[in-house]
Amino acid sequence: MKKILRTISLIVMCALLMCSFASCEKAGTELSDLMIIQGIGIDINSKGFKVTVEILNNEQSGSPSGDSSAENKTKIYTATGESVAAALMQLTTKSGNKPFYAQNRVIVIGETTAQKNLADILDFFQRNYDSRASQLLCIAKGGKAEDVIRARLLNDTVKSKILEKMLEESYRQSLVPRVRIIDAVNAMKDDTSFVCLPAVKVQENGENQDFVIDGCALFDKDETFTMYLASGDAEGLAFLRNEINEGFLSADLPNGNKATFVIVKGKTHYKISKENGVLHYKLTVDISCDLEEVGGAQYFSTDDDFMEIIKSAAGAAVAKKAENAIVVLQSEHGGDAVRYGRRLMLMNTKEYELLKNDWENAFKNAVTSITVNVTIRRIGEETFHSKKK
Amino acid sequence: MNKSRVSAPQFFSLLYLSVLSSIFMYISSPEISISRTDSLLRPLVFIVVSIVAAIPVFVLHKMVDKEKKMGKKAVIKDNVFFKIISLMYAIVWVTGILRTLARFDLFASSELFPGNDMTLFIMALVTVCGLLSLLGLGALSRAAIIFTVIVVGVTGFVMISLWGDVDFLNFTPLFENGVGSFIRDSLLFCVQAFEIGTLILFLPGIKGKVIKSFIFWAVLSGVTFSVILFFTVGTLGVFADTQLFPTYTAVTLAKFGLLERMDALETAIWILCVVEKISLYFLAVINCIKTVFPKVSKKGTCVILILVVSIVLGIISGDLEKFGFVSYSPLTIGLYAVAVIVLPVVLIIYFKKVKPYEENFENN
Repeated sequence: MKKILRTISLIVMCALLMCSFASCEKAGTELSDLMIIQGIGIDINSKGFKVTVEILNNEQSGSPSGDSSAENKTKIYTATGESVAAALMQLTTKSGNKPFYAQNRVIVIGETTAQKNLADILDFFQRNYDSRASQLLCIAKGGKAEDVIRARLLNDTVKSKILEKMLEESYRQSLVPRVRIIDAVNAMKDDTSFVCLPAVKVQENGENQDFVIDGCALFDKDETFTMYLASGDAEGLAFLRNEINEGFLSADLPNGNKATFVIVKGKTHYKISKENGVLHYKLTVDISCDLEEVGGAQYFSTDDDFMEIIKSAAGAAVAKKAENAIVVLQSEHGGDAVRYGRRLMLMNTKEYELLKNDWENAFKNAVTSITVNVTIRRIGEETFHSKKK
Repeated sequence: MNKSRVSAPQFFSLLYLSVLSSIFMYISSPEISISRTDSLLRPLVFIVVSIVAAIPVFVLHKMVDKEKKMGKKAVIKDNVFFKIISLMYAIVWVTGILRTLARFDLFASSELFPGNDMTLFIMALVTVCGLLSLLGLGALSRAAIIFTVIVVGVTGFVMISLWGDVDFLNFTPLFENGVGSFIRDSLLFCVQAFEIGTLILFLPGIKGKVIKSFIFWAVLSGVTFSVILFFTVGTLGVFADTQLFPTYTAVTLAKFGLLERMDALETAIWILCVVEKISLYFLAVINCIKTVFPKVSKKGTCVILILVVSIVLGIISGDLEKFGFVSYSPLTIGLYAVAVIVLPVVLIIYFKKVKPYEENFENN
C-alpha cells in the first residue's frame, strides 16, 4: 500500500512539473493574449522615447481556415514613455495584451535616437528576461525607425521578418556586418572598438515601399552616432574584419571590360608590427571565387594569361575596397570599427597596454597594407578555347 | 538487490551530473568574470584541487577498510562525537539543497517563466527529489548512468551547433589580471563542487576501483566545464558578464539546420541534473540524521526535510538579498572546507587516536 502511495505521489508530482513546463513561456496565458512582437523601432520625441512595434495578429495568424485575406498578418502600435522600457510597457494599455519579446527579430534605431547613448537604448534589451541576445540591430538611415516598421511593402507579410532576412543575407553576402545585441555590447564594452550598425532605408517603389540596406552607421566611444559608411566602404569592412562569407565581386580588366566573381570563401590573416613608432597592420586576404561573367575573354592568348589577369583583377578589386574603407575609418569622424585594437590586445598585449589610452590617435596613424591571394575555383562552362565571335 | 551498493561508474555518474548542474546554473558575479579566457583554464585547477582535496576522504576510507579486512568494524552508534559530525554534515547538505534550489528558483523565475512565482513548482521539485531519495543510492546511481549518456550527448550536440557563433576576438589574453587573480578565481570556482564531500558517506557502499573512477570523474568534469566555458566565452565574450546565467544565454544562440530554440532541450537536461543533485543531497541528509536520531524513520526525516526546505525557499524566493546570502562566496568556501577537508581530517585523527573498532562477528 505504501509503495503504491509513493508511486502515485511521484506520478502526481512529475505530472505537476510537466504541466508547469507545457504551458508555453507564460504559464496560464493564452497565445492570443500575448503581444508577440516581431520588430521594434525606437525614436525620440519631445516626450521621451517613442516605440513602434510590429506584432503578430494572433487571431489572423491562428485562423484554422488559413484565411489570410481577412486581416493583415501584423498590427502596428506606437507608444511613448520617458525610457524605452516605459514606452514599451505603455503598449499594454493600447493593445490590452502583455508584450512578449522572445520572438522579436529586429530593433531599428531612428537616426535622431542614435545621437543618444546607444548603451542606454539597449539596456532594456540586455536586462529583460524575454529578450533574446541574438536580436539584430540596425539604424534607420535618414529617417525615423517608425517609417521602417510602418513601411508599405508589396505583400501583406511580416515586415520585420523581411528586414531580418535582408540583414542576415547582406551579412552572408559580406555587404554589411551582422550586429546582434551581443556584438553591440561587446564592441561598446571594448576600450578601443567602435560599434558599426547596418543602415536601412525605406525607398518608394510606385505605390509601395521597399527596404534597402545602405552601408552602415558608425558609433563613437561615447556610443553616439558619428557618421555613415557608404555601401562600398561597408563591403571593404568585411575584408578588414575577417567577415568574408560569400558575395559578389566586380573587377576591372585591363582590356576595359568587367569580370564578375562569386566569392566562395575568404579569410583575412593579420600581422602587426611597430615600425618607427607607428603600428603596421599587414593583412593577407585569401579568397576563393568562381568566375561568373567576363567581358572580352576572346582577346586572351592563353589560359594562363587569362587566369593570371582575372586573378590579379579580383585581387585589385578587393584591395581597393578594403583600402577605401580604412581611409574612411581613419578620417576625422571615423574610428576603429575594424577592431584593430582588439587584435593588438590578443597579439601583443604589452603594446596594447601602452597604446590603449591614446588608441584614437594610434588607430588613425596606423598603416595598413593589404595583400590579396585569389584562387579561382571555377570559371564556368565556357572556357578560353571556345572562342567567342 | 542491495539498494545502497552501487558500482563506481554508477556513483560517479551521479556525482558528474551533480557538478554539471553547477556550471549550467553558474551565475555571473562581479567577483569572478566568466568572460575571460582564464575561465577555460579554471577547470584544470578544478581537476587538481578536487583530487588533492579528496585525499583525506580516501585516506579515511582506506583506514577503515583496512580494519574491516582484519575482521574489525568501526563502532559509531550512540557516540556523541559521531552525532556531532553527522549533524554538521547534515547542515552542509541542507545548505547545499537550499543553495542549489535557490539558484534553480532564480533560473526558473527569470529565464524559464519570467515574472512568475515559482514557489509551487519548486515545492513540487523538492517533493519529487525527496521521494526519489527514498529509492536509495542504487536507484539514483543506476538512473544517473543513463542520464549521463543523454546529458553528454545533448550537451555535446548543442555545443557543436554553437561553433558557427564562436568569435575568436571574444577571447582575452591569458592571466590578464595576473596569476594571483587567476588562482583566486579558480579556487572560488572549485569550491562550487562540495558534493565531493558525499564520498565519505557513500564510499563504503561503492564496488570497484573507486580511486581510478574518481580521477576519471574529476578529469571528465574538468574537461566538460572547459568545453562549455569555451563556447560560452567564444559566443558571448564580455556580454557573458552582463547576463545572469551566461551558459543559458549561450545555449539560446544554438541552432542546427531547422532545429532552433535548443535552450528548451538543454533546460530539460539541466533539470535532470538538478533532480539528481538534490536527491543525492537528500539521501546524504537522511543518512546523517539517521545517525543522529536512530529512532526517526527515513520517511519521517524526508517529510520534515521537504517541509523545512520548502518553507525556507519560500522565504528566500522573493528577496534577492536573501538569495545573495545563500550564494555568498565565503559560505561556499566554508561548506567546501568543512565537508571535503575539515571533517574527514577530524575523523582521521579520531580513528587514529581512539581506534573505535570491535571484532566484526558478522564476518567471522
